[in-house]
Amino acid sequence: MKDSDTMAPAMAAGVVTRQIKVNGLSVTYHEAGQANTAHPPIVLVHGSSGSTMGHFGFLFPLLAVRHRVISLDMTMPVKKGEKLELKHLEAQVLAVMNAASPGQPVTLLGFSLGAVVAAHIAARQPALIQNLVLLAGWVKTDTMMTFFNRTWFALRNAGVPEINDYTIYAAFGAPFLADKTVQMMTAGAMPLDDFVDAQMELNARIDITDLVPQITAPTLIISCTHDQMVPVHHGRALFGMIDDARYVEIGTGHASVFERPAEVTRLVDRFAADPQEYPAGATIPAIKP
Amino acid sequence: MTQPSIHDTSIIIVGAGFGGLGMAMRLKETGFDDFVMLERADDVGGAWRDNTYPGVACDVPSHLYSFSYMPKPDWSRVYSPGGEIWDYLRDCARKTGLVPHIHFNAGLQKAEWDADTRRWLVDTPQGKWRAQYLITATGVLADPSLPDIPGVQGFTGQTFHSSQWDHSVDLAGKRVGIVGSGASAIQIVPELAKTAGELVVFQRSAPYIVSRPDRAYTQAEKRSFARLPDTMAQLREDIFCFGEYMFAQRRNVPTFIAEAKKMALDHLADQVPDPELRAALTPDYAIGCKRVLIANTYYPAFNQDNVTLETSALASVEATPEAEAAYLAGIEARAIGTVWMEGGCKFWYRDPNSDRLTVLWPDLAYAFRDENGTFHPEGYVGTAAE
Repeated sequence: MKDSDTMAPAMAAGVVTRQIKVNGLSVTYHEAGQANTAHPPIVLVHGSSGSTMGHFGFLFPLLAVRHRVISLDMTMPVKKGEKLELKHLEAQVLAVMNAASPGQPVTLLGFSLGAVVAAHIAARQPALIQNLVLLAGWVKTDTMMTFFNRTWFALRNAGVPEINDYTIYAAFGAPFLADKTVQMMTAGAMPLDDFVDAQMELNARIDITDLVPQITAPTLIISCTHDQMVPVHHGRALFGMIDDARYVEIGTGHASVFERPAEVTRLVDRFAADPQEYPAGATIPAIKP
Repeated sequence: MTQPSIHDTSIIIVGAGFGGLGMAMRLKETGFDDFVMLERADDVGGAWRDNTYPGVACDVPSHLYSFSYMPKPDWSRVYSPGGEIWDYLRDCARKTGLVPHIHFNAGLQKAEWDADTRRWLVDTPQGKWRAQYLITATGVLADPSLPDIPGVQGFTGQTFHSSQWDHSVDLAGKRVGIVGSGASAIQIVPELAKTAGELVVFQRSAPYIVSRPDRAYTQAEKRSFARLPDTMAQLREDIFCFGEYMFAQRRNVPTFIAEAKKMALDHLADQVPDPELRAALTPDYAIGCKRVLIANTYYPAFNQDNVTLETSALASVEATPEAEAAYLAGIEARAIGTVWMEGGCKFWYRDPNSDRLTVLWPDLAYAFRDENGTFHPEGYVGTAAE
């Protein structure tokens, strides 16, 4: 249902789209929302196979209601067959931050692999990151993730369309899927290309165990209760490793930005406006409508 | 009869519908007992007591349209009928011991803030009350608003508003006119279409309608909810979060507007094959300008031979006297029973020449307006806590 096609052009009114060169490659980013002196701009970093429109179709325009929001569409930074590393993706994020928010630290939000990139940046470039949001991120790829990754590549190499089913099965939470039909969920296919392959290959060997404890920025960690791709223990590990962190679990699968984008938006909107609303070490209570 | 005295209390709650009952239950929960509830009718339930028209139901799933602290495992449907919601509210009042606090037939006639004693003084047909806090839970769409159609007084058939349904009138086989095509009409039309001889729906502007994912809960599901109450809370959270997703439409984000419009127009196309009828049922304004409705049975009713959609007649009432006359002649010729419906509500008023807040109960007022027709939102009751 909420595939990247139907979600695609969810751009806010007044959005500005620009391109910059990073190591000779063109990288697109989008800006929306009024600059706000009270809190820094929010920079969004999408996850594997994502884009601004694909992963932040809801968050980007809705966060722009009260914040200046900058979001990039990452470009394949290596040649096919070359190994993608976090530093390649980091370079694109830093270049966009430098172009869109020169000299001003940001609230950096990453989703999934984007959260790993964001944590990587926050640890290495603390002066640039005023606040950090890690949505469905992780520290080190573990056994369960490895099994997912290996099976994904087996399907990919076999060239079978069921790779889409398998991805949906893993990405969406059981409660969300419970009242959806197969037809609704398979209306659009997940994009597959060399860059997705490179990101999936990188996902298999993430280990930022040494870097994460160096993060000093006030951090919001959002884990997804029904996440089968990055189960909650990864978010809890981040919570234990980052000094100024607060933690919340939401009732979604990994695809939180599709399942409950408004809840993610609410959490990010509040945190970006007042990072210390909940002190370091706090668990933010779940909504109880 | 002795001289009516003034009853003193801490809190006066006006209205025993969802809002008033919810307020009172939360007070009770904290152990607070010094309050009264003033209810103009003779039972609790508000809109769900008053609206008994055929097909009455809520557009919010029952597991969300209920108190979080009073879950009901045996809701019959995803969208339960109005009568079941009314029963639920009566159960809530009874189970939480609210009934002794409620004064029935005690409609608020006047409420004045006495700045000297810092107390509200409230008049009702059942006596006067005085309290530090006045909490209004009167609803905004609780009262009928009848369209001001010239000549309608001369109509000789039966006429009533949907919120004051006259169940003594048997509409089976009759020629019935329905004025309006809003949230109540879309529930009434499919029901009347089953038995009416001829049903004419006078539509001023077509609503956008999306499909209604309604179904009955099975016995097993209801027992599962009863045995595992957490699953009700989980379902409530899921329904709530889906509603929150709709906020992107409210913020006018283009893609989400387009998504909503497509959903509604696809639903119409699925249900109405006739292109002319479909065109007449297609809204001519941006989605969201009026409440988006949810229904599976409204559009199909127009595919029946005994149901007619009238779009030109009502539109021309406002245009020329000749058209008004033709319209009225038409409705008089057609209808035996007629149902009026239109959104309506009552508002509070702050007298600009006084420091008092005064309650007004203007008949047929949709909103408080001055003699020039200008709406004064500052008269809204949000200031009553002063």
